[in-house]
Amino acid sequence: MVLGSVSVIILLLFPIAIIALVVWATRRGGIAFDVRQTYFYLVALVTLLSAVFSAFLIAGGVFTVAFSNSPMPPNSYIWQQTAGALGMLLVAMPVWWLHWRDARRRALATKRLLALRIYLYAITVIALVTAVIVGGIAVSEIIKALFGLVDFSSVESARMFWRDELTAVVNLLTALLVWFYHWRTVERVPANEDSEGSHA
Amino acid sequence: MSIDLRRLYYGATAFLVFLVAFFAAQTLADQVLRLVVVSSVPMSERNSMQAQPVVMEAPPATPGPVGAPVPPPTLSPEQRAAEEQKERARLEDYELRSAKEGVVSSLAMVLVALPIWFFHWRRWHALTRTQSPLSFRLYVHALMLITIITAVVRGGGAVSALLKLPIGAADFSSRYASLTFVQDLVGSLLGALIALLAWWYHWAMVRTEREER
Repeated sequence: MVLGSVSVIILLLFPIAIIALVVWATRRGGIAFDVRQTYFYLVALVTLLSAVFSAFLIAGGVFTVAFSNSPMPPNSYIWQQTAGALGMLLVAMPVWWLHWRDARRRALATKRLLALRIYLYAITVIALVTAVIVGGIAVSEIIKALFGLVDFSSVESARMFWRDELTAVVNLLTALLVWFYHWRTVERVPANEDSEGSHA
Repeated sequence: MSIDLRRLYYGATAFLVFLVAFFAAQTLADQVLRLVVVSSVPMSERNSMQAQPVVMEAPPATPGPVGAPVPPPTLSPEQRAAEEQKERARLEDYELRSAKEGVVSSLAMVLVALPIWFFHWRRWHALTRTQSPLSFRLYVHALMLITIITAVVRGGGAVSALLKLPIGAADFSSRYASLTFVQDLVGSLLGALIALLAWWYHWAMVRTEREER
């Protein structure tokens, strides 16, 4: 209980500390800081990550249902979870697109591209790390099968193998799609920019 | 330095108290709907929805001497009080009580937090508008970020509740289950609406500040 309260207080104090730090840095170092643009990037980042991880949950749910022994009742946990993830995806994607479109348009119009590059590279790094993790899962399943560590004599084990493998492959494709889109976008960002890239 | 500290105090207090009021308002909306549902379905009907207890076969009773009256068990006053307490607890509708307590506590939180927030927000706004527009913009955009993410999460909850209809994951097996489904849907919609209102209010503040510049 006490630990929970302390963590809530820390969570609440965290944005205040960031705000105080930014104000202090701006005054001391003369760094210009575009608050609005940062807001757009942060909303785009959070909603994109929510959408991607919702897509992962949907893939997991769909393959769990497809490879289950017996038909899952509609009110089972897996259906509830899939519906929740799909709802999140459907709401997060338009919010991401609106914020991302405005952020990109504004960055290109003002020719302040450093923050845009930082945002795009951050997403590509996150997407690539995610792709490495889920790709590793997919490959490890295959290696297990090659070394005879998967029991294909049992229908249940074979189903579980294909469920995990296909889920990992779909998740890998999703992560690579996100990575490719942002990598292509950052490659197309014009080279000329100012030194700092974000101004108030 | 003292002016900066004063400004920091007003900003931090307004920020934290706003978040308290905002999340209390979200809880209030959920709890009010919960109370409506719980109070409109009798306890017996709600309890019948829950898992049926496993019926254990009673052990065979030790036969007493035929014809001899069985004396009633004698209880001390403390034991009798404990038995009465157990009986009262069995009959009490804890769900209804917790729903009422939830409404009262979240309403109290909103009622206490909102005036404190407004007081500090007004002063913070006046101080930063002229002296530190950057702090003001940071404050407002941080709250806009939190409120839009809350709106996405609550909106996602509403859409997922709607999606349960076509896939058949919604439970309409009884009146209580149907009302609980409606409660989830309306609660998520209300939560998203509250979050969007909070977002819009701060967005309008930024817009006004930009126009004034």
